[in-house]
Amino acid sequence: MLLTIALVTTHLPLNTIATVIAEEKHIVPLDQIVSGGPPPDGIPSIDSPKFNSVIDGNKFLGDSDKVVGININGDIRAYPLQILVWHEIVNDNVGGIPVAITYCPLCFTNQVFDRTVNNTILEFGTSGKLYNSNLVMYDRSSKSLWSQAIGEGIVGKYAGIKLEKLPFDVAYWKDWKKIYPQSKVLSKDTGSARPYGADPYGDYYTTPDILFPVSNRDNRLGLKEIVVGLENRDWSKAYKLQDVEKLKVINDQFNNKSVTLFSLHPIMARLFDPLVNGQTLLFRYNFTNNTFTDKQTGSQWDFEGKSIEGPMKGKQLLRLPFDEGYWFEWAAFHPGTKVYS
Amino acid sequence: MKSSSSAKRNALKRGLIAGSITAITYLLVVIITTPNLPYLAALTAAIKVNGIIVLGLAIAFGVQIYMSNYGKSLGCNIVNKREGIVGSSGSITLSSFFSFFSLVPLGCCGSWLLILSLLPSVLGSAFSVILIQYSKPLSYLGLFIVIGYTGFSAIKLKRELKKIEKGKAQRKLSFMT
Repeated sequence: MLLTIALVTTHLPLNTIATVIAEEKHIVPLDQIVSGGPPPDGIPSIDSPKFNSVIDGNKFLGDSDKVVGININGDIRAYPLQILVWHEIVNDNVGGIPVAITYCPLCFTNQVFDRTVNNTILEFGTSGKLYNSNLVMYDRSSKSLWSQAIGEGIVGKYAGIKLEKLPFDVAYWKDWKKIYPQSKVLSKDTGSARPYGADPYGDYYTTPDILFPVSNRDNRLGLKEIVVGLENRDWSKAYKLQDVEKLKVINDQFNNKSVTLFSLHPIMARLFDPLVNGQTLLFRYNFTNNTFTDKQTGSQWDFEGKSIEGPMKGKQLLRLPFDEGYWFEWAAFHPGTKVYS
Repeated sequence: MKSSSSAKRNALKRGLIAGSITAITYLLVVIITTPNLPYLAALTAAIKVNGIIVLGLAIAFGVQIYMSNYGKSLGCNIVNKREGIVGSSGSITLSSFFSFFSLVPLGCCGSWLLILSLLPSVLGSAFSVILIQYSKPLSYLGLFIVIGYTGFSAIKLKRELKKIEKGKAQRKLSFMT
């Protein structure tokens, strides 16, 4: 009897429950927002994060542990995936900006958002629901649902409102601490007892298959190929992270706009606007000193997008945010996406 | 004592029911805990990930129930209820529980992530880490124990059958002489 009740209630699509909770505004079909099982905040977000130094971080992080790293106004912080996997959202203030660091392990989508919407600072939690197998967040003030992958409100007051995405890195701890020895690292003292260090997703990341259906399966790339995705209204383009890593620099056009991707460290890629002083720069990689040189002025640029030598010395490229995640997720949210080749 | 073939039939029926209940219960738990998936997708995923465990537990437990009932019909109690059935059921539960850990990748922030995240408050963080890291071998260990119980029961049943045959032969011999 209990089994039957549980079976029926857990499989009710969102629109059947209370007939769409007073007909809320929504921008995606409600029957595609499904319960993952846990209640809202069953997977608790971290709302008062504490931080350690790199030295203390070394006590629980190995070189090959991955972190999401951000640098906002010189405030540099690393969020280990081994902690994020149990919380999925960190509500933080970095460099004076209220941000949400989010991670959906199933899609390997990492996103950092500015939590300010229409001058209101939102706090996010996990809704316990999924859209396209991706984390659906909710904001605690309006209870609107937000898709983590697209960074957009999908149900409720904020449906159709986009969160501002902020640039971030996914890096190995070994590389991150070398680049930013002054970085702070999220502490395991999160207020929740969790088995940090054990990954509940096991070998999911390394097996090529997925065990759940996706709305748009695209076989141009491997399902779990990690891609860097750019989107602008109806345009979207994906770059294999492996390609960016291999080529070190990609000068490309996206929606008639020039973009440049740099990579100097494994799994780390950065996107820049190459327009400086009205000039669109084209870059090449210097093997000799691990920097980039623009073809127009011969100036040298570092991984931060700052010119360190030549006529452009001191100039800074504008860093742009991008999406990063498994190909199956990108293709599900962006059917018909272009793929860089 | 029932006739041997009818006793076998009855025991087989019970064994099949026990095996089926084991598999059905397992799959029901999968369906309930992965509400984001359509039933068929949840079942396919469970069989893909843990097919050996589901099938192994169902067969081993079914065979054990069959032997227990068949033995009982022959007048011998080959499976001690407390050690055999309870031991097997415990192992089935543990094996199933650990094998469910591999269902976490069926849904972002899904039921099994929630259940696993609650482990440290019951078992402590360090022990929970070990259980999660070694969930796969632990689920196979559980299956191995169930198979072990079944094997042990099979040996006992064989021994009992031999004894019965021997008794029959002796009775036949004494009747002839």
